[in-house]
Amino acid sequence: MKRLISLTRLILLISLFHHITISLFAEDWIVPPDKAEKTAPFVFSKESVEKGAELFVKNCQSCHGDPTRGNFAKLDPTPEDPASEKFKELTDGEMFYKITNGRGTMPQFKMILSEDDRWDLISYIRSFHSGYIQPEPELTSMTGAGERASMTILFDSLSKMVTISVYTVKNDMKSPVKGAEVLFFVKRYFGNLSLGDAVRTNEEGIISYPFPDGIAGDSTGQLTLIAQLNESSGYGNAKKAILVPLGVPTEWISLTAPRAMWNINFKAPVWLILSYSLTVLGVLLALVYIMLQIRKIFYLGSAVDDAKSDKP
Amino acid sequence: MEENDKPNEEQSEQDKKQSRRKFLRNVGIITGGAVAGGAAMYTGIHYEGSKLPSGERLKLLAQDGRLLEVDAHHVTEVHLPESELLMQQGREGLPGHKWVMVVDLAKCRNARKCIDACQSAHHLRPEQYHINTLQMQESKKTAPYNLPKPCQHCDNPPCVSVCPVDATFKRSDGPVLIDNERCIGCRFCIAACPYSARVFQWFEPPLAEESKDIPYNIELNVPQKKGTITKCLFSADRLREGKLPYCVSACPNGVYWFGDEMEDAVTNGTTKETVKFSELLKQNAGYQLMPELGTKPRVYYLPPKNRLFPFEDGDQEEHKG
Repeated sequence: MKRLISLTRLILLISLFHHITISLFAEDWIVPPDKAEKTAPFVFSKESVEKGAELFVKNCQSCHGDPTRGNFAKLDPTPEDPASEKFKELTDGEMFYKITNGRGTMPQFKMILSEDDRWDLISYIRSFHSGYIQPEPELTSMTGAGERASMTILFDSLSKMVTISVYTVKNDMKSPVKGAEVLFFVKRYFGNLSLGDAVRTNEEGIISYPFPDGIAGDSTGQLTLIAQLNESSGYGNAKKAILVPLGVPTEWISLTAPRAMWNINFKAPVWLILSYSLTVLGVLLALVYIMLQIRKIFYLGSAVDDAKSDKP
Repeated sequence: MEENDKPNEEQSEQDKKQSRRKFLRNVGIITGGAVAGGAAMYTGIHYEGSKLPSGERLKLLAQDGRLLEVDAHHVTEVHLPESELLMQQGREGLPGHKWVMVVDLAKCRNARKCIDACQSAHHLRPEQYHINTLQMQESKKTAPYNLPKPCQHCDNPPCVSVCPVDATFKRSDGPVLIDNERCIGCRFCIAACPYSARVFQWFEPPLAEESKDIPYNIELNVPQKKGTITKCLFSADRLREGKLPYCVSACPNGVYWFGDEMEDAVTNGTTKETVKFSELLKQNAGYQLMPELGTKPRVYYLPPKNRLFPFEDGDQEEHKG
């Protein structure tokens, strides 16, 4: 009976949550118009579809199921089948935005898949949409199309300024790149910590970047700063890492350093070592004292015996 | 009189003989005891002495390419079998790090992928959990939520205090590990742990046959041993390789963040996004479980706010017994 009540309560609860989530997601997933217009930087091909298929199995299948089969996970909101009308209606840019940023249970793939990977994935999804015609790739609109820029990093530890200059090399001539986007990261043990939005180069192809405060470095404040060209600005994705002493010095103290009850015998609390040793010592001394007393009695006894045997 | 004296003499002769025997026996006992005691003391002193620095420094190249300076006294030639090497490095930990985990309760929908990954990595039976997933509801009117609860890897671990054989221990970089080869199965630690994070191997663990020839890895607890404790290890073997723990990278919903407190950074196992640890806690009102006990957990929780899934029960009926 109790179980039945709790079950009905649960069903009620679930339906209540369902309502809440539905009303939460009733509003569509709106993609900013400029992002929705984005198009792939290359023409979708058999290779890109194959690559995309591979990536799909690794990253998407567990929730979206196999395209055309409709065997997606029962989540709320539903992940939907990528071969469905709903996906077909999306522009390439919208799809790219959604994969990049994610929402709710849809994870963001910004840090997991490169931009090219994400486009490969879209080309795979598009291969299920009959009648899809790929919009003209954006190649022409990108100023730096085909050119890969390089960069140099300098830093000033006093003013905490990092200076980046971005340039392209043609016939041994360096020409600065204006308007290239650079992303900054700090290397951490399991991944790179982003230091915020991309920064654009000025007319001379230079960025003066004030290094933010409060980023932990090693014991001397050293840390690895990574500057990376934003792929989408069309100059490739050149990456430079440099060791800079701009972080906050942190001192590592072993967690097993302090004296504690849980530590090894040597690092037990002083009171524990003292009271234990004194107790053991006390018991030992008492034993020794008892032994001495017994010895004394023994000698007294044998003296009496001797005296007795001497008498006659 | 003479006649009378004779038996007396014989008596004392016998007495003398007896006391000589007694004396010899005593001497035997005393020398035996002294030799045993001396031997024990000698090994003790020798063992302690091996820990003392000699003042002479040696420069060594570590496996990972770092140049290290070590006291000459501490240098032993490494012809160690792999099992001993694993034991040694497992006890020492990774210097310069303090691992932390953040669990975002708003994201957990009880997908149980963390548990699957954990159980297959550590060779656990399906009913054994290093991560307990609890279905929580504080009171009638509050909203229910899922709470994955691994070992909290306390900085003041009560389980380690009670271990009588130094089998479970705290490591310099944070994890509380268990040495299944030392563990005597007394289960004091199970009783001491306020988070119920420990599991006893009542039966022969799965894959016991297949894994019996693998050298025991203290950072992975494989092969598992019947009659000992098994527990969450923060996937210490993966941390050594620079990888996120098994559970963290298996989560499909971005529940787990894992990182290094020293770097003030945690990385999400699903999105691989890295954020500042302190800011994540600050912006989301991060908290710890039962901090009032003074256990100083290394696992933090973000409250189950704006949950993105309906709370479902019944998925795991079979685990409830």
